[in-house]
Amino acid sequence: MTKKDWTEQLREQLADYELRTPEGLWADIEQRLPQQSNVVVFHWQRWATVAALITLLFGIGWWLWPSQQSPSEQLAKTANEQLATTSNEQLAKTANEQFAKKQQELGKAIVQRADISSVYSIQPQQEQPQKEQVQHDVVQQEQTQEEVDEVAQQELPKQELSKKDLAPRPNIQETPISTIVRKHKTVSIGLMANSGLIAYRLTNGVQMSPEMASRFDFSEYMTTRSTSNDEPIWLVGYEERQHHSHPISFGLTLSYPLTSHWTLSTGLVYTRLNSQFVNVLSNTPITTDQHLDYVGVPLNVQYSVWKGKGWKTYASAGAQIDWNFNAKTNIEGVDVQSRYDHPQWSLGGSIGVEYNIIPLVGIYAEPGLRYYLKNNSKVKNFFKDQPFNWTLQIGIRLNLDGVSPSNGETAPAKGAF
Amino acid sequence: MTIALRYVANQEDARDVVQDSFVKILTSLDHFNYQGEGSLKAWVTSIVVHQAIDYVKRHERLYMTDLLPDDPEEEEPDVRRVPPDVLWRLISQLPPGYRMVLNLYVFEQMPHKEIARLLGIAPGTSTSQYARAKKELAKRINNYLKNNKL
Repeated sequence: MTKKDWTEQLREQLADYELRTPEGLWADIEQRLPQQSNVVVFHWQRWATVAALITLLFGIGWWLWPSQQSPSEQLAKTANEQLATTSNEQLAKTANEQFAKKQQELGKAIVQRADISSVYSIQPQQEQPQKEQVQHDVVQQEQTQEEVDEVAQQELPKQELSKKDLAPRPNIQETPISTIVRKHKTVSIGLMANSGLIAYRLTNGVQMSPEMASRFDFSEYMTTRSTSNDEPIWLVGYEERQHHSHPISFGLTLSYPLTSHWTLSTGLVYTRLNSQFVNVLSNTPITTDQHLDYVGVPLNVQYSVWKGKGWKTYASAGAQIDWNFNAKTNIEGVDVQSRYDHPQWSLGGSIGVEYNIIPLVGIYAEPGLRYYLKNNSKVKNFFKDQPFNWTLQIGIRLNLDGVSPSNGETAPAKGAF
Repeated sequence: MTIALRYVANQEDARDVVQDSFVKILTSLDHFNYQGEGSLKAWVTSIVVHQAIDYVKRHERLYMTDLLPDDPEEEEPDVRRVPPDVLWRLISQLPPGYRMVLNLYVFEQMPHKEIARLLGIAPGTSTSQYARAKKELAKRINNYLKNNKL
């Protein structure tokens, strides 16, 4: 039986035949076209979300950029603490509290005028010789602020306070011992790069539907065939291949030292996922390229394990959420509508080694593990097919001098590049 | 529509395929690279075919059938006396398995080995399905000619 029979005539007769286009088809197509443009608008909304996140990040950084005591202020604080242990401890404390309260009321005005604030301490005359050296050091540091101190003294109701609270105790006098509050850069912004260590490739057959399997002649492919329903039956001549490239991430990081050992860090991370899917149908490959862009916000805690001679080792752990703000799918050169992934949570941990090539700049490497939680999305990507993965983060940190809020030791702020 | 109906089961499915295909075509024109006469038609056809195959795969509408009993050999019909729209309607009314194999074999001129690979069936099944489809279509065409006294 060949095709050179009546079926050949059938093919020739229908070669130029075209079915009538259903009514309303073009209208339906036109209706769907604006929906495509709406997708573009939605993309703009996603980019706006990214911009908002960046703004939020910088806002958090500004908020975490604390006002901290200068060394002279700390010295003054130490002097006051020493005074509190004297026989006039209660008296000095009461006086200090009074002046602190007054300072709070008038401090803002003083800062606005002179960009400083003043701290006053009342010291008993009897104790002054013992504390003279301490106070002398402090006052020396503040000599350049004499004019400002005068302004502060004029604004504070010292006389009123002396009359009401201090007059019965003539041995008490007020002495300004600290005037400077200066912002120190304990938080900084930098860049980091991160990459997964393992690309993922999968080649798989596709299961045959029961109806199709019931009509399949297995004798040509198998010598024996089990009748068990548990055994999968694969389509002949059809397979799917998928390859997920290394996830690549770049980001901004913010680190805030909580104590001398513990550091809290957050940031904004961009991640690019590239995947390629190949459907081989009758020896004809149909290639689909998928590109997904994510923006993520990590939150990690870091524990410094060891420091010495420019080297530092630490351990880090935390979570991250990534939003898919852009998606592109291309089938054989034709862009098609893409499906967006749901927000993706992940948990991770790493160990890091940092070396300061110069005092302010350090390079570091952080190998680690990351686990991507299920997000009930049907989008196939690296996160779904390889949820548990090794990562390697490398970068350069800019260490800005600052004062640790916990113990006063000079501690670097960290910004990773 | 003609291309889509060679792959999907009915008019409504073909309509969906054509609709999705044209949306992709119109939104992807900037990606089309003109490479000479016929390239646009080939490009459009490729999109429709890919969309139709994807539709069939997602909806799993491909299945073979042996519901029709074996009848004696049918006389070869004179298809030239039958209007094209009637021929197409008779083809479209064939069971899905018959219709798919007959379309691929007659109109796409694919060998049974390729049809078997495409549909995930054995080449022998494709051959038998085509033989049954051909016989059934011949029977329906002859009935049409007989009923209309052509």
